[in-house]
Order: sequence, then structure tokens, then C-alpha cells
Amino acid sequence: MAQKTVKDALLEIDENELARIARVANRFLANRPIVTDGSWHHRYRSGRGMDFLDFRDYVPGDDLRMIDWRASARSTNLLVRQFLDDAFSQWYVCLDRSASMGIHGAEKWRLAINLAAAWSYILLQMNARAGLLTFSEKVDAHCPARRGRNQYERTKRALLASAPRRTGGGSRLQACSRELGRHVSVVVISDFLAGDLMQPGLDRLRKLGGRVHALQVLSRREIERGPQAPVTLRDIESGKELFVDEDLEGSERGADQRVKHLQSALADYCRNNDIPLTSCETGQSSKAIIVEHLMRACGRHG
Amino acid sequence: MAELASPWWLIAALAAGPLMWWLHRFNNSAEVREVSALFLWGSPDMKSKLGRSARISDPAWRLRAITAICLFVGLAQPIWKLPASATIEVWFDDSISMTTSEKEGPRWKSAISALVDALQSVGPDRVVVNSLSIAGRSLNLDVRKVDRWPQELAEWIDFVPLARELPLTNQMSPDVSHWLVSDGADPNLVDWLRTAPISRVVRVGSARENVGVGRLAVRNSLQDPNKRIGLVQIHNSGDQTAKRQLTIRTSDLMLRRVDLLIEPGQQVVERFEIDASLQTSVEAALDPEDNLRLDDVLSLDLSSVEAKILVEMDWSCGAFVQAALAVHPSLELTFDAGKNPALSVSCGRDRPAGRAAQIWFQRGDAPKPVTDPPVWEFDIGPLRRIYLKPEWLRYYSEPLVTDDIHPILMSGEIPLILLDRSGGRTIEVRLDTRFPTLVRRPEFAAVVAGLVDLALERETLDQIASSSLEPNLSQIAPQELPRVDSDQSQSDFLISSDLSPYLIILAFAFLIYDMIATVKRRIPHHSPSPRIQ
Repeated sequence: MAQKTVKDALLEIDENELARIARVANRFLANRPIVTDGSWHHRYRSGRGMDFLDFRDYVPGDDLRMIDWRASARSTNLLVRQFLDDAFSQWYVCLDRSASMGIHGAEKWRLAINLAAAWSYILLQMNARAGLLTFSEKVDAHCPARRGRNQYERTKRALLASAPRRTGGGSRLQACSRELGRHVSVVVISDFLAGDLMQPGLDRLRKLGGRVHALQVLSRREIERGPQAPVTLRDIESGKELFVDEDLEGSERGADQRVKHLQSALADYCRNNDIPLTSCETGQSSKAIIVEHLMRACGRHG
Repeated sequence: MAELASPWWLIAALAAGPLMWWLHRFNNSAEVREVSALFLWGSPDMKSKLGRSARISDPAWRLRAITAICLFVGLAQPIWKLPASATIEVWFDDSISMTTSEKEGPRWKSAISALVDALQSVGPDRVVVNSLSIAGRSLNLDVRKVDRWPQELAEWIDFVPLARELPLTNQMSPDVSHWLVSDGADPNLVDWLRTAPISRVVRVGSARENVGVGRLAVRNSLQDPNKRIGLVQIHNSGDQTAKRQLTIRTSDLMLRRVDLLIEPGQQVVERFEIDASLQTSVEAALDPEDNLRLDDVLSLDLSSVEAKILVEMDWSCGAFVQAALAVHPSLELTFDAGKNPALSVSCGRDRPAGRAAQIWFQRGDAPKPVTDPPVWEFDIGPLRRIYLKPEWLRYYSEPLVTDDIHPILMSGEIPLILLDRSGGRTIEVRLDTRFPTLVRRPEFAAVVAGLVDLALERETLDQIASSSLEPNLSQIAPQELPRVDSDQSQSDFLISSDLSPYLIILAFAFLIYDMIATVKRRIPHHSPSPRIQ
């Protein structure tokens, strides 16, 4: 069977389906229920943005600089200006392109770019500004956050131009925080197979003030050692080697337990730090993964 | 059993195993598989359930150690010796010197005794005794009947007083052990032993003094046709002056007795006369007999010496032919055919009737001069040395009588003397024997004498009867022989097989297998990179 290419993975994206998902995604991502008290639901929210949204009555505690005196003169009450929440509207997808993402026939990489493209589409449908960062030891590619249909095409081109490293390249998520401004929301797509579970990087991103979402992409073949022992295992990123025979505890059963332990630790961390986390495996549909993640994110907060 | 020609290489072989293990401790060439995260499988400091370190030596060190050990052991040249069939070939010196009497008896008896003792000490599987003097004469001794060996050898030995040719050393089998039994008196043995594959010499004899009769010869006297003269040659091959009395006698008659004093190495010749009519044998003997008796007496049969050869002549041959025949010292002329002559000489136009041997001086009408130089065409012995000038010769040109002729003397295409073999043996002479220029020359008598020998097919001018003994055969003093290995034991009968080529080939086979296996293992197994389009 011919290997699926990146282009094939992007072609799998059903934009109509994603558009439907996008109509409800903003409620999930804005922490509001799908059904509201009004007859329409608002995909915007006020915040510290630059774009004027609406007026509202002054309440004690509001910043006096926000009082719109001209509007207030026409009204009987003091009125305060409301702006669009830029933090809500600016998103980055941080895609891990370390060598571990390209192992085992790049199954993880194809799923990862599929998720990255889908996320970008959804965010752009929500009129958010969506950008793309690919990282390994450093930020390797930066597609600045913008709105509109063209941004999706730009994102797809950037994804097409990317590829996981063949060797080396550890996953330093911290490098992304330097490229991002404050109040930027991030979706991290990675296998999180690092000794530190990429927690320092996640901490840095949280400190930016935006929302952080995590999608862990794993392959069923992560713990596949090989048909015969003894065998030398070589870390594709660090190059370190380990000679394994069947007597060692680093057998497949032990590795499987470690993966589960790692997932559990990552889940605990994310739960404690209000980071929605979804673990998925190659072979799953990106749409299903995103829906599951959105529901998880909504369930967490409401 | 095995032995090593270069045992020092074994030290390297002993060190090969531990050295290979040490060199491979940190070099692992097992199959390489790339994984996403090594920490999922453990750490290099982990221990297995059996307590082994996670990083162990490349198991390939075992095959490489075996390869190195095979190579070093091969370089040590192991030789595997297998017991071979112990066959001994004994070369027994049966020259007459082995009959020399010693204090303990004849040398050959001492030799047999010493040989049997030596063979019993070795215990061969097979023994073959060869005659050193007579090629092809041998005796197989039954190893199961050792007690019969002395008798069998004594019956087999035959001492022949003949000069001998020692066996060719390159034809002596290399697969058996060769022994020599000898007194070492033959001077030719020294050179022979230098090249012969003799592994042991059984030596006997110590006596050195010997005087022997070397030659006894008789011929017709040139002065007195009724007498014959003889000579006896005596030599002293010892180291001391010897006194001997020489007696020369026939069966009935004492011819001469003389006392001799012979210096060491000296050769003495004594003459005697004997009546030509005696056809008996004559004997020369020395007294007293010494250690070697076989050469103290020499006898000669005189029947082979003819007093005179009877030649029948034809009256018509003329005076000159008659004179040439009469001057021949061995011929007796007769004109009586009834006396059964050995040779007939006739002259005339007609060919005489075929007889056993005859010379026919042909006559014709008119002799012609010879123009071309005459050439002797046939292998005719001394006649070839006689040069005849053309101007001395005239010939008769008559038709040839028979076809079975062979030219003896030719002048160009003209036959002057022919050999006719049809119906006997006839020398046809076409030279004019009445031509004074020829017949008055001394060459004519020499030609006639040569023709007589040619007709009778033997030398008649000077008959000598002789009996002799090779001087070397009378040598009995043992000589200094080249040293040979005289300490042969059963362990020497082994077939050696060099094992080093097999071990070196085996080491190379292991090496090639290891190279192929290493190349296969070093190809890493990892997933292909995604294609970007």
C-alpha cells in the first residue's frame, strides 16, 4: 500500500464538517453553553481588544479611561466602551516536528498535520486569528496569525512545507513562547514523549495569559521493539543507544506501562493546570478527535 | 599424537579469546532499531533479572575469538603423527669382503647376528632384505618367525666376486626405513651414503690386512708359437708389508713358485710360461691364506685360447697372399681341405662354394686402375685405420654374383671389397693381388689380417685369456662412513600430517561468515521518512 503523503492527509479534511464543528466550537472555547438565553449566540466577547464592540453602563470599578464621555452625554447614564477580546481571537497551533513525530512511517506526523489544519480551519471560521508554529529544538517555521480564507491556504502551504526531522531535534516547547505575544491561546500538537513531558514549555505558554490546549498524538507502534533479541534501541532524537535482551525490564510490557504512566502524569499535570488534554492514536479520525477534545474542554469548564 | 613446529604462536592463541572479549565490550553491533523515546525502555544502568548489565559485549566476540584462535594455532604448525606401517628395507652388503674372517667368525655371520638383534629391538611390521651387489635380489623375512631369520639370511646370501653398481638413491622408496649392513670396505659406499636415505648402518668387521691375486692372464707367445706366456698380478690392500708365496700351476704341473714381499698398496706382477698345447686350466694361489680367502686363488681356463687357427689356402692365390697369411701369428696354413679349417682362402674367377668363413680374392680379365680414393664403408674395426692410396690399387670389374652384399671398401661407386652373407660369410676381394705396388706394401698384410678377423668375426691377431678380480673387491679395511641416525625406535615409524592449512582455511571461512553477518546487522531498521509533496 502506498504511503500516505502529507498532501493526502490535508486532502482528507472535510471543510464542511469542520465548518459545522466551528459553529459550536466557539461556545466550547469561550466557555459558554451552546444554547444561551438570547435568540442568537454571540461568537464574540468583549475583552481587551482594539476593535470596538459595544457600550455598556458604567459600574463601579470600571476603568475611568474607558468611559466614553461623548456617548454618555447623549445618554442619561455613564457609558463605558467595550472592545473585542483579542486574547480569545488569536490562536496559534504549535506543531511538534521533532524526529519522534516522523518515526514508524510518519503516522503521527500525518495525523498531527491533519489536526493542525483542522484546528486552523475551525479557528478561522470562528473569525479568530490563527497562526502556525512548528518547533523542535527551536521554532522552525512561523506562519503569523491572521484571519480569513487566505490564511487557511497559507497555513496549509506551511504545513506542506514542513516535515519532521529525520534525526535529533528534541521537543523544546519553551522556544515557542518567545515567538508568541501575551494573551495568545495555543494548541500544542505533539507526542509529548519527553522526559519532562514538556511541562516547562506548557508552563511558559500558560504564563502568556492565553488558553493552552494539548493534543497528544501517539502511535500504536511506540512500544514495538522488534522481532528478535538482542537488539540495540537507538533514540531517534538523542541518538543514545540501549542494548536490550529479553531479560531486561525494558521489554515491551515495561515500555507499555511506561507509556501509560507518562500519559497519566501528563493528564494529571494538565488537569491541575487547567489545560484540556486529549490523547489520540494514529488511525483515529481527526474530526472525532477534535470533537472529543471540544467536549472535554467544555465539560471541564461547564 | 600431535606436536607443534612453532609453539610460540600458542601464546597468541591463548590471549586471543580474552582480548577479543575485551575489545568487544563496548561495541555492540546487534540489530539497531530506532525508537521515539529510549526512556520508555529503561536506562543503560539497569540490570536484568539475571543481574547482567544492559550493555553487554557484542556476542560476535565469540566467533571472532574462535577465528583468531584457529589462525594462531594454524601458525603454530600442528603436525599430527599417525602410526605408519613400519617397513624396513635392509641393504645387505654381499661383496666378498664380507667373507673376511674375523676373530668371532666371518663378517657376514656377525652381520646377520647384529642385524637380527637390531630388527628385534625395533619390531617392524615388515622386513625386506635386498642385495647390495645384485639388483632385484631380495628376501622377505616373516616377522612372525624371528628365530628363523639367521638361517634364512645365511641361506640367501650369495657372494659374487663381481664389480657392482650401488642402487640408485632416488629410486629408494621414501615411505620405508632403509638400513645398511656392511663392513664399509667398499670405497664407493662413502659417496653413496651421502645421498642414500639410510637411517641406520649395521657395521661389522675390523680386519684391515689383505693380499690378493688381482689378475691372471695368458696369451700366445709371439716369439715361440709353441709357447704361451702368462702373468699374475698381486696387490697388497692392507696397511702392512706382507710375505706371501705365489704358486702357479696347472692341474698336473707346477709352473712356478716364488716368494714375495709386498709393501702396503704395492702391486706385483709375476710372469710365467706354459706350453701352447696344454688346454687345461692354470691357477695362481697365495700362501698362506689371509683373512679374505676368496681372492687368494685365481684360476684361468685356457681352452678359450686357440693355439693356431687353421686356414685352408688355394694354390692359385699366389705367393704374396700366402706370405700375408703366413706372417699372421695366429694362423696355420694348410692346403688340405679335409682338415676342417676355420677359414678358407681362395683365388679365381669363380665364386667358391659357400662355407662358414672364407676369403675370395676374385680374378678377372683385365684389372683397372682405381681413381677415387678408397673408403672403408663398413664398421670393420682396426681396418678403418689403414689408408690405401688409389695408385696402389687395381681392381677387377666383374658383375656381382649375389644381392646380399655389403660394401667394405669403396672407391667412389666401385666396390673393391665386399661382404657376402649369402650361404655363409664370404669376403670378396676385387683388388688385384698380383699388382706388385699393393702386395709389396706392409699395408697389404695388415689388410689381410683385418679381413681374417672380419671373416672369423673375432680378433685373431692377439688372443688373450684373462681372469681378474676388481681391486676394490679385495679391499677389506673398513672406512669412515658418513654419520647416520642410528637410534631408531618404534616412534620413528609415523606418518606426519601438517594440519596448519586446514586451520588457516577454517579461520578464513569464519572470517568471511563474520563479515557477512556484521554487514547485515549494521543496517539499521527504521521507518522511512514521510514524503513531502
